[in-house]
Parts: sequence; C-alpha cells; structure tokens
Amino acid sequence: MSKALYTYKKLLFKKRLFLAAGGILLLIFAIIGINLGAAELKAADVYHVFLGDADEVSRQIILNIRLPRVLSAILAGMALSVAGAAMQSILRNPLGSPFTLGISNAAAFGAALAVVVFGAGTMNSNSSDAVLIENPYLITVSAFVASLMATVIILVVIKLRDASPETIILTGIMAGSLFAAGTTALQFFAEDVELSAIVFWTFGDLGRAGWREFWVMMTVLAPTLLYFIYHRWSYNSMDAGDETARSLGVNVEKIRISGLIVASLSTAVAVAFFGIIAFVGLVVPHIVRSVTGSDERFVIPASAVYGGVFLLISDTIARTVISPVVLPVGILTSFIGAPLFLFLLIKKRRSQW
Amino acid sequence: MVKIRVEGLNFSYRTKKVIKELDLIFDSGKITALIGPNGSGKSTLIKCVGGILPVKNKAVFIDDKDLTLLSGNTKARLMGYVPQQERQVFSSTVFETILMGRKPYLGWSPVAGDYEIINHVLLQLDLESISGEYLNELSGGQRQRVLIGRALAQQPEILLLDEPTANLDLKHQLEVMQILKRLAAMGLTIIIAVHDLNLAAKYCDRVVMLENGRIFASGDKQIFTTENIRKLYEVETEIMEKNGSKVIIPLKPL
Repeated sequence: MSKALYTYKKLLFKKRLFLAAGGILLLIFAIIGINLGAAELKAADVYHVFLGDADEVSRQIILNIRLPRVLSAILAGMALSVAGAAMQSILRNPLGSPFTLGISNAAAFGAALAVVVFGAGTMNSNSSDAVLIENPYLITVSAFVASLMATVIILVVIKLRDASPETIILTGIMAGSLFAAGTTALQFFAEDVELSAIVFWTFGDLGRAGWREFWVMMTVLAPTLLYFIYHRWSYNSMDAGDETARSLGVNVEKIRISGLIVASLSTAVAVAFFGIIAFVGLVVPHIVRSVTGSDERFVIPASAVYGGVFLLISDTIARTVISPVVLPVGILTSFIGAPLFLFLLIKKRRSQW
Repeated sequence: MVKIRVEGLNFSYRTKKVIKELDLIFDSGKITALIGPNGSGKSTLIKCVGGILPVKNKAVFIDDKDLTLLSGNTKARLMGYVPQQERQVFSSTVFETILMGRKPYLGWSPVAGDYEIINHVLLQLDLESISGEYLNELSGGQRQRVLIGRALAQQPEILLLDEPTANLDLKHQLEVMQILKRLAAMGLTIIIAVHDLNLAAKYCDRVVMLENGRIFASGDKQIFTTENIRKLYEVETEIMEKNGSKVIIPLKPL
C-alpha cells in the first residue's frame, strides 16, 4: 500500500471509530435515561420490567413514559441534526440549519395553524401533560406544508439571485420572522386552550413523546436518513462548488431541491411533535465535522448518531435537574448549544469553514 | 480519440448574449488556447462544451453525439473540468479531493482500482507528499495541481481548464503548462482559456481568438500578429521570434 493510501485509510479508521463511539454513547445514555426520572425506580426495577416480571406501576412508567420519551429524544435529535448537516452541504453554507433557515419557525406556524384553525389539539388541564394532540397527522402535515413554504422561499431566492451564502441566511431569517409573526397573530386570535397549546410549541418540549409520535417519526426519519446517505457522493462533490459538481455528473439543481424538501420534512415532523428545539441542527453537524472533516459519508450518519446523543443528554438533564419539575428541552439545548458553538467558532481550523 | 464539434452555439446569461452562433472543431491530442479580452466568452465557451452551463439548442457534439443527450456520468467520464479557483466550504484533503474525481465511476464505495488511479495521479503530479493536507491550506500552485489531478482521476479524454495559470507565479505557470503538454502528448484533447498570450504562443498547438462571443481568428501560432492583437485587445505590441517561438511584448493601450 502506498504511503498516501495508508494515510487516507488511517483517517478513515479514525472516522469509523468516531461513528462507532457515537453508537456506544447513544446506548449508554439511553440506558441512563431510562433509569433516571421523577419516579424513583431502582436499576433493578428497570431490569425486571424488561424481564417481564415487574409490578404494573413500574411497567407503565418504563414502557409507556420513559422508553418512548428516550427513543423520541433520540429520533428528534437525529432528525434535526441530519436536516442541519444536509442543509449545510446542500447550500454550501456553514450556517445552514432548520432554525437559521426559518424552517423550524415555519413548521411551528403550521402546527399552530392546525391547532387554531383546524382544531387539531387543545389544552387538557386535567393532566400534567398539558397539551392534548387530537390529530398528530393533521399537525404534521400542516407543519410540513408550512416548512415547505419556507423552503420554497429560499429556493426561489437562490433561483432568482444565484444567491450567496449571506443572502440565503438573510432570506432564512426573514422567512423565520415572517412565520414567527404568523404564529404570534394566531396566538392573538386563539382561545385560551389553543393558546396554551401554541405556546408549548414555541418552547420545544419532549413531554408529548409517546409511542404514536415515535412511530410517525420513525416512518419519516428512516427513509430520510437513507436518502441522504444515498446521495453522499453528490454532496461531497457539491462542496467543491456547483460547476465542479456538474462537471462530475451531478444534477445540482435536482439534488438541491429534493434534498431541501426531504430535510424540511424531517424538520417538520420533529417540530410538529415537540416544538422548536434550537441549536441541535446547527451545533451537532459542526462538532461532527471537526472530526470527520467534509466527508459526507461520515458527516450524515455521525450527525444522526451524535444528534441523538445530544438531545437525549439535554432531555435527561431537563427531566432531572430540578425534578420533579420538567424543563422544556429547548431551553437546555440553547444553554448547552450556544456556548458550545462559540467555543467551536473560536477553536476551529481556519481552513475548515 | 474524440472529436468535439460546436455548431451554431448560442448562450446568454439572462438577457446578455455571450456566445453568438459559434462554429468550431477541436482536434484530439492537441492543446487549444481560447484567448480574448475579458467578457469575450472564453470561460462561457469552455463551460458550454463541458455541459456545465445548460446549452439549449443542439450545438455541441462529441464524436457526433449530441451533448445534451449524454447522461451526467457519461459526460463526466469523457470530460474533466478544472475551475479557475475553488474554495471549499468544508475543506477536504488532497486525497479526498482527487477521490471526488472518481464520482462518475463509484458504486457504494471506492474499490482498489479507484485507489490505484488516485495513486497514479498523485505520483504523476508530484502530490504524494501532501496527500493528507487540506486543500484550503495549500499554496496556489499546489492547489491548481490538485484540481488538475481531480479532473485526471475522471480518466477523461477531454480536459477543460478555465484560466489555470491566472493566480500562479511564473514558475508554477510554466509547470502547469508543461503538465498539460505532457497530457496532450498522451492523447488528451485539451482546451484552455488563457490570458497570457506568451503562454498560449509557447505551449498551445492551436489558438482561437474570441471577440464578443464570436470567433475573431483561429489557427496556429501564426495568427499572433501585431495587427490581430491590436484589433482584438486594442493594445500596441511588438512581436519577436525566439527559438522558433513567438514572444509578444505589450507596448501600450490604444
């Protein structure tokens, strides 16, 4: 083996190790997450639940509250983080993420619209889990349609202006505030019960995570992930610029439009169920890239895995730090994500982005 | 050996016509220089031939096949394109950048054959010692060689270069041109947009002078005359012969 190839293979090994480490971290924190919570169950109780000989209360808590919540945290983290990684590559823009492009705000608006206009969810004051979603599919579809609108705004600007990275982000911020204003307007006209439901979305909270949400997210996320992994070589070429990518046989426009649509769908599902969870989609891909470099073969799966880890850790802290009060996870991701992003910004290699 | 034929090519950016009814044939195994003032359509012509800009009418034929009917991968296996400069947003290493050139051949993952070709390219362009470095950290000359290397990894029959010497110092300019000369001798058809008339006169087999999207003159080095250059660039020059090669000395703008 030549020296150059050896160096490259060594680099590949490091990246694979990083990916595998993420998988192990995910497993460890999932186990920790299932074991921690307001109800003080011992590790032995948890163990018995999985053996199938535990009492009914432990069974209910573990299988119907903690497990779906832990799994939903992982999936939502994956969905947002992969969407962010893909947007950054597709738009050749390190600032790309569901939040900075206005897609999160648009999805929240769509969800709010479904609640207020189509009556898809109301406040249920009898339960600690305050919001009752009557029709999660309607909310998801509405969130998706709205996030598509934000995507279309960005695509139109790219088409008309051959937009620079700065223009794209400015457009995203503009679209984001437009939809945020829409949500505020809906709040103004909403009834009390609906208002509470909307406010919950702007928090970003995994309190509604149940099996139903888990399966809907799973159905969307699995093909999304496969789609992005399938196009990894095209994204690699697009990083060198549109012209080079075209000369390498990539249909840049098609890949960009379809990729953004798929990324909006994955964002929309996460936001429709759990509200706006900031920073996951921006920070995690950057942490990942600091190890994997630009190679999309690793950026996409590693963003998924570490996005899951990041949101899972944030949510576990949110559930337990001032237990029994459960903080909305969106607060935690911002508190952890913002300083982390600043740190990365200062520490990064000048050549990387 | 491929033949590129351009027939009645038109191209506009929005409303601005850049290429107008252009006819041209490129010979295989030769270096053709496209020269002309800024905005004369050199880069645009290269990108039209490479299928990088969308040509609307049937105007570019490769071995008599309409370019617009070829698939992306077929085009990419036939033609390599070297951009004037490249700024990667998320920087890749030299090895990874050259690996991109294997894109039109790749299945799920690169195989031994792909690595062999990359190795060959690295050796050919003397890039082996820097294969692990990041593209964005390289000097201009090294970077240009990497970009040529990526195009060579496509194993193309045609190489298109957009002002490959524009940002290079004298030594690297000559180095790049010598590489191209070597590649042409191996049978590659090379089309290069270039500003430096002396480089074109020294290294290129054929010269096409462009003016406002039309051919002003084409032929071998003999078309470098003070008369032609005055008309094309509005510059007064003196032309000398040295070792059978033409040397163009610019004097003053008209």
